[in-house]
Amino acid sequence: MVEAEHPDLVVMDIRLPGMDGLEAMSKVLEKHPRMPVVLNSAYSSYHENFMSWAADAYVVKSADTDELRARVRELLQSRSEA
Amino acid sequence: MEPAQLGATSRIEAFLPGSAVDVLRVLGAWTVPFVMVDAADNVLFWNRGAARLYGIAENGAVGRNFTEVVGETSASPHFTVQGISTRRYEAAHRAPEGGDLPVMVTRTELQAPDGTTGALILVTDLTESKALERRLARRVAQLSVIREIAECLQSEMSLERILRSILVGATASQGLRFNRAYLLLVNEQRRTLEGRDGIGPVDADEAERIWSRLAQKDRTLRELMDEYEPIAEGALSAAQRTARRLTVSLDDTDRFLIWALSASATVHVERGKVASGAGPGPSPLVEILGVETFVVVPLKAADRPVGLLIADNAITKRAITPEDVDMLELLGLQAGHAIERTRLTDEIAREVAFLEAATLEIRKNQERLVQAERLSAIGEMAARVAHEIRNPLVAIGGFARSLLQRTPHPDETTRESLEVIVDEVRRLESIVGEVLDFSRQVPPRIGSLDLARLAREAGDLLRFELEQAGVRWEVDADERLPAAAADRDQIFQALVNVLRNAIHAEGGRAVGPGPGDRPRARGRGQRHRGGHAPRGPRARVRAVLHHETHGLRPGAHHRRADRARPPWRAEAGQSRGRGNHGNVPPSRGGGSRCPRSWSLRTRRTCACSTSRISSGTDTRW
Repeated sequence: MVEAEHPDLVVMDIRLPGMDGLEAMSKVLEKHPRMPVVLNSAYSSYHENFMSWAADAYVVKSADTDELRARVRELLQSRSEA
Repeated sequence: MEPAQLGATSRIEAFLPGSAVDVLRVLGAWTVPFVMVDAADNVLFWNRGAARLYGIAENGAVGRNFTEVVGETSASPHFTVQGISTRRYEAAHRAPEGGDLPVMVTRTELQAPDGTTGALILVTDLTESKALERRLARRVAQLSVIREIAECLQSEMSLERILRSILVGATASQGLRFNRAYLLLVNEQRRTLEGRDGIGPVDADEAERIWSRLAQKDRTLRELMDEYEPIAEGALSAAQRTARRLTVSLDDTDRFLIWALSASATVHVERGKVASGAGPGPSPLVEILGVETFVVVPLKAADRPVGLLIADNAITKRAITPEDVDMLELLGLQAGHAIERTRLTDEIAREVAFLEAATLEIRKNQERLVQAERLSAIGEMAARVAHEIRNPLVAIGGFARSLLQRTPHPDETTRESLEVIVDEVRRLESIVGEVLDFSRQVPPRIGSLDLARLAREAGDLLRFELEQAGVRWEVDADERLPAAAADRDQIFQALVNVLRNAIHAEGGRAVGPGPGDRPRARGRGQRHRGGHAPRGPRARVRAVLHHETHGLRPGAHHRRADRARPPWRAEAGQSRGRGNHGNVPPSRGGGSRCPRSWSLRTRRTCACSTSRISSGTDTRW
């Protein structure tokens, strides 16, 4: 999907069907090291897993998407400034 | 009574036919005391042996009454030798130098053909055999004493009681009867020969008082030993204080006591000098004991010196005989083994106590692990439930918001309903969050904590898993690391979590440059950066955990991490590889690329105050 769509930023869950989200993130970053990645999971415990620290942000899943929007906006802004 | 006028030869000839004169000549020269008497017990024949035994010449005995000549007294009951008119009995005769002469008298009645009666008397000097008997009896009595003392020592388990029993055995009238005795024991830890105990009167007056009192109460040696009560340090007797003064260093090999200890043989000091002439002068010991004649017996167990037993007769001045020394050596032999036995028993007791404590600790750790597993399972279940609930809530709330935002002019009821849905979803999310937080947070219970030891315990707890995962756990702690004020269980849980992280991270796919460079987790305890031992409320103990893992996917990125749960703060995942020691190449947001050959090193720090905890948003304590 990343290869095909060339997104500016990736928001991904950790529990994915068929693949571990952290492993998927690793694959993305391997090919696109500058890609901003936001982990969005209903599990708050992965926040403490050092493997998730490679992401630019970790937002716990919620019906209120304000925080997620804010982090995405922030990352896109800093990317455009860089 | 007038001695008989008849010549002995003519009268005896009446009894002895043929060459009786020749026989008499032989008997006369015989050294065995041989006497002939007539019916009235007057001496007819008195040989050389009799003359020598009684110191009375023939002409002084012949014709006189035998009993009178020999001064016979204290005759034992006679017994008759079967078939012959012979009687045998013990008696006390008069010794030539005065005093009693113990003898065995064998008297055979004779009758001449003409009916004249008389008797042949054979006398056996029992002086030597009586002396041997007395010596034997004395020795048996002494060995009985040693046996009784040995039995007492074998039944005792307390070192203090054993020492006291040895001293009582050496000095009691029922024991070896020395006036005073002292015990010194080797102390390997302090490298000294220590004077432990002493017994005996300080002078003749005290001796009189003590011995009179003891004589009034008829007690056995065992009863005397059992009377021992521990004495407080401030109430020592003179003998005990003297014993304390005898302490010397084991390294002072030129001292008399150390020489006696290493000589492994009894030393008899007479008139201030070693009887054998060997070894250094005993003058210092003579001065302390206040006596010039004493015996020093080494105490050994399996050829290892255990201590010394010193004994003297300072009060009665009775000479110390070789027999006394023999008995003291026998006592010393028993004493050495008894003392060694208590030492080994105490050592075993200490080891057992240590093992019991270790077993208890292991059991507690197991319970903690089970509890941790249980809590972990609960936490995991809570997380899973939260996940299962959150996802549908996201969908419900998300679509409700979307409808609110996208419906241009919703009617009041629809709007209110959607707002209720949004509010309720928000409330449920909040409740789920609070439940998860509650299940994780535990109020800290602050106590004094040995961080280094705790780190080792965490490693011990997960040793098997670490080994299975090929992770090496090292604890490098400053020796002077002071205790930290922290919650033991939380710190322990944090340590276990970090180790589990390492275990799961490696999880069978650890790859490294070589077997000598395995992934490792390392805990380090440091004192305050000032280099001095922390003191006061500002002092801190800093614990730093490093986790190194190899073989991350090439290009894996890492950033400065958010803060982890207290008490740990997760710091930047800094890459450090060959040729790059600490310099993080500039990149977006401070991150860096991690080539395949590089290691990811994560670090978590916990700073714990030694005496005060400051709380707040900062996770440092």
